Amino acid sequence: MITTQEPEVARAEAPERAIVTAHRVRKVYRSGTEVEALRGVDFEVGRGEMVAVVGPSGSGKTTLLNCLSGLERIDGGKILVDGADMEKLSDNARTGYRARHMGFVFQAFNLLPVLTAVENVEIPLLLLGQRPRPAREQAMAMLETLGLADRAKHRPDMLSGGEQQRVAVARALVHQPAIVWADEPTGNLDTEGTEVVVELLIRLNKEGQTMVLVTHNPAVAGRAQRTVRMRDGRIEAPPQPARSTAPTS
Amino acid sequence: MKGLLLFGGLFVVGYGIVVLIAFRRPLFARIAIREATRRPWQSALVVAGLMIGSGAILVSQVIQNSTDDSLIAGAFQSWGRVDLTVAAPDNGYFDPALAQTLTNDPQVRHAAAGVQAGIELVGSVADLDRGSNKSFVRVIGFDPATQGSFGRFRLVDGAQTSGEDLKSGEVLIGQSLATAIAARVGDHLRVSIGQPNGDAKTGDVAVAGVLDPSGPGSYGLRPAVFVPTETMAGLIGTHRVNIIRIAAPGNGQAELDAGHRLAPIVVGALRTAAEASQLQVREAKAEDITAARQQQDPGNATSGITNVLSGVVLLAGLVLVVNLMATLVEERRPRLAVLRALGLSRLGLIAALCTEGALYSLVAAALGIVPGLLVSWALVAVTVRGTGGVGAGSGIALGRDLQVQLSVRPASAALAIAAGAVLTLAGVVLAAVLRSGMTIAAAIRDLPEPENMARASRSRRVFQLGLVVASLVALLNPAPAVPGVPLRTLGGVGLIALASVAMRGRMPERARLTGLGLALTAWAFIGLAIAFSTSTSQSAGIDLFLAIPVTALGLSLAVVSNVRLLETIASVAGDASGRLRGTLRLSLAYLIRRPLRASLTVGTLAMLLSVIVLYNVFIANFANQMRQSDARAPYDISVSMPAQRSMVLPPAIQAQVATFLSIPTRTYLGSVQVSSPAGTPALWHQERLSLYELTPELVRNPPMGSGMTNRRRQFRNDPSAWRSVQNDPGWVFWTRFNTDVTLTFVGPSGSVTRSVAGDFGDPILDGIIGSSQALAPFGNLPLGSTVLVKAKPGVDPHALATQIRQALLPEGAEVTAIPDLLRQRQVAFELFASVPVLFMRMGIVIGILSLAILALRAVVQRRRSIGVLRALGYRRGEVVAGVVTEAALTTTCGVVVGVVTGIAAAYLYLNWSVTATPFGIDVGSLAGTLGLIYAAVLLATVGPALAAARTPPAQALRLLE
Repeated sequence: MITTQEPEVARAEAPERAIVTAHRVRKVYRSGTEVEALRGVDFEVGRGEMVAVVGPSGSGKTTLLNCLSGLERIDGGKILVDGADMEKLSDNARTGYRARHMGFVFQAFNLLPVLTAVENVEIPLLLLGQRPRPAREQAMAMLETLGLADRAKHRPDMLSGGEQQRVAVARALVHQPAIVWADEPTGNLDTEGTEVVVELLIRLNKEGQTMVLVTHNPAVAGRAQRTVRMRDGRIEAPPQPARSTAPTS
Repeated sequence: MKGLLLFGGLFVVGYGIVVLIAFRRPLFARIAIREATRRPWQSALVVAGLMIGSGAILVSQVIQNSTDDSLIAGAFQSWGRVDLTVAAPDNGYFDPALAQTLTNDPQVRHAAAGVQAGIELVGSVADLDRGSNKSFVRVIGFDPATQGSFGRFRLVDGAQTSGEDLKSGEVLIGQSLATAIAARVGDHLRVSIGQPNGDAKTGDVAVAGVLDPSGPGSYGLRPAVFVPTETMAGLIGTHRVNIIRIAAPGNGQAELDAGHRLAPIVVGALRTAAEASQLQVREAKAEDITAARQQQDPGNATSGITNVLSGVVLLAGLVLVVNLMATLVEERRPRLAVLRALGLSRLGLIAALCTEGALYSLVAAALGIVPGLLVSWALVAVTVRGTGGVGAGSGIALGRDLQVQLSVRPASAALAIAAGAVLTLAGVVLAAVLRSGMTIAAAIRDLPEPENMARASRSRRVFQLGLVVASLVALLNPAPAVPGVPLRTLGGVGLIALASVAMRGRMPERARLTGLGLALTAWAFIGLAIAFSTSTSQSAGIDLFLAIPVTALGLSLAVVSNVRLLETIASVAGDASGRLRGTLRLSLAYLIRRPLRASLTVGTLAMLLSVIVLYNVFIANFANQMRQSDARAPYDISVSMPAQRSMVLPPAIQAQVATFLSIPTRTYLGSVQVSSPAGTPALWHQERLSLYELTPELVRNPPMGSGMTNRRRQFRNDPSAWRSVQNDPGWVFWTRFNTDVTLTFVGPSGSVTRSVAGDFGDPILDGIIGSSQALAPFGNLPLGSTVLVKAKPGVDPHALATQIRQALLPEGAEVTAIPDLLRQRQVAFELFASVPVLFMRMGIVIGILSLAILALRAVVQRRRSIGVLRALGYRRGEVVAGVVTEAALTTTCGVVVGVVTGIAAAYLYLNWSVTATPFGIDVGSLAGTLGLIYAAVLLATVGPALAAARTPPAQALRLLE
């Protein structure tokens, strides 16, 4: 079962072996007027950790995730991912870095509608230059792991929301990235779908996968090892020691 | 061939790269194929839009091929087996024994296939039995004894003859002459041949047969009468000849080569004959064919116009390609952003997009051949042929009965496919490069692109600096490397665009785009005004056709950027209906959301429409000229008598004549060199020209008035041009004036060069008009006359013309009522002008297709938005109205910009090139065109609009592309 209680905001100490380190990160959007989306955020993610970022709409959760993952440039501060200074990387280098070390799960699944499930899953492998046959085998293995082997040849429009998101998770994990970024991974799912996906994420985290997920759902956030609350572009409270979490079901 | 090599090479390289990408990254090929086959009808529409490239190129190529091949075939047909000619420069007579000298020469006998002494003159022929006549008929004397070497004549009844069986006084006539005078076998003809003193040699002959227009029967490709030498001697009163025809062995190019080898042998053989010293040996057929191949024909405007218009259509097609691909990329932006997030580099994204674009481009280029062929066929069948043949107006084909035949060379089809695919692919690459830059995070959520305040990268700054330098070089370069290339205009356009890019983010976007649009428009017109004031017609023409797209796109940008002003109207309408206001506001919002892209759509339509308007004004202007000419023409009837220096009318007819003007006229038949601009090397070609003497009476009372249609720029006004032609033998008027032309003729004492001062749109005196001093070197040519007759009040000019025709029948006079001449000319011009109009209508299809495709893509892209609107309470009809209104607004912007651009360009052009011409526009024709455009746009967009409206709101809201 997924708990529905308000999650306790994590107060974990900064992890000793941080895979992600953000220091005084600023992000400003300029569209007529300037909007400071991130106001000097300090943030760290330890290797093998599962961190949930929560907060009200407009608090900067997604912006933080986009900046940490290198999808967006920052206007100040510093971000190190596995030792690499994201701001010092060129666009091409960042792209390559993402391809090798990161996986993404989006709220709207964002599967390519013209490709089948297995073809969607093998995209990261092909982009990394893997040969087609082993890529297909690896993608199939990942789908089997996620219980989607029988849906491998289906296109996204033939899958349920939960199945689509599991395919998206498979795509995020197939190349064994160092970290997976999930932006509202259950935002478009019903309760049942949400439970399946969250269980999946937790299982993977237990197997050692580092994850950062942005969510509105307190139940989902409550399953993370650590929760970070954001408000007005800042992390609301200083990090506190982590508490041990375990699946409730 | 160079084009095929260039584009073939680019095709191989371009598609080679795409194939390489597809092999190295099969994912791209897979996505491309899946996207293309996912919605076949939408892909078909995309392909239809991209077909324009190869279609437009093929049309241009086929028109060129058809003209070239017809000219070359005409040159071969016209000369038949004759390769070399030996004649005096003044066409004078000489001893026919010279032909025998050549025949007896062992070297000539060995190298030549035949030698024939003959006669070639121009005269008039009257059919005494039918009461019909024809002037300017070629009178060709041939020797039946040697005709076999030049081919036997084939009669229309199938019989063949070399002429030995013709009795004395019998002749053969060409089919075109038989048709012109309705002659039949057995008819009695009176042949009048002009003499230098104006006393015609006249004789009667009988028609023994009508020749099939093939083989020697088509010699000259003009109305002709073929007269055996004995009968000819009776007509001209001498057994002397004025030409020796020599045939070389072989066929086609081998024959031309043999003729080339034979020429010096003939010269050598003639060197021993004293009388041959004045004779010239010409490789007549080879010269004509070379001229046809090189298209050294300044008056042959058809292919030039077709090329320019193909360029405009192609440009519109490319704008459509860029627009279409940009729309596709925009539509798939979230998906593409996901790929970017997953690790696809920007270059990889461009490669992926180009792989799909290459697929569409290749299919479209191949399929574009079909509409290209159809349009080519229509142009050749309906218009080019309708204007009277190749080079209508003037040029090397003039004087020949030549029909344009549709000719499609395989190389042209290959070029069209290669160039169409390459250019379309280039458009795809451009669109991919422009649209591949995205903020991934925003794009994934399909949010607007955030403003980028980051400084441009170093490579971008270097690129921009390079463009600045190139634009400055183009702008300031006083002597363009390629004459006629409007570098100044291009340089200015480059600088304005770069200045606008530099201002991005420093001023309101609407003001920046409006400024950019207006600055481009102003610069295009300044460039045009400068070009008109400083350059020749050809380079100014190129400036005109560059100014039109720049102006159309510039004005479109300014209009689209400010279309929000229309919201005021919407708000007024809103007072009556809130729903109407909501519908209009939404359409406007979508229209201006992407001003650059909307400007491209509007600009494409405007560009094509402006050319239609331009020609509409030209046609209306010409019609005005004709009306004016008609009204002011001081004469009613024109009588051409190439062999008679005076006209003698019976008293009964004289009584109906108020006044008449007789103009001494000589007929030149020989080599002419038309150099335009003056001094440009040009090939010689054969032509028949009437030379009219500018008598004091003609100066006092010119048939079309003294107001000139065209005038060389160095003359400040019409009177100064008239004074020069009257007083300076170096200047003449020429009906086929083409700004800055010199003509070189062959006179008895060598070359005679005359500069053309201008023309006054005169279909009555069709030829060269010069003072007696200017025409003095042609005193040995046959003297005839052109008589212009004014009927007394109350006398019907047509009835009087008929009476004069009957009275002057034996003299072979050609009598025409002047209003008929003017009407014929107007019809010919309208047919000629219909080529570009038809072409542009093909182009308009692009504009409408563009709107249809964009409407469809917009509907696909906005399905969720439409679902939201429907959920909010929009009715189906309002959704349809919204989509159609948006297309109608786009069309209206295009129409306004196109009409303004076309009228402004036409006004500038006419003010520059034509004097004393009232400016007019054919409102009815233009309104019809606009009505058709609106109807087509409505038809094209209502389908996607209905599809959008039919989607259930709940389904539309769930839909994710």
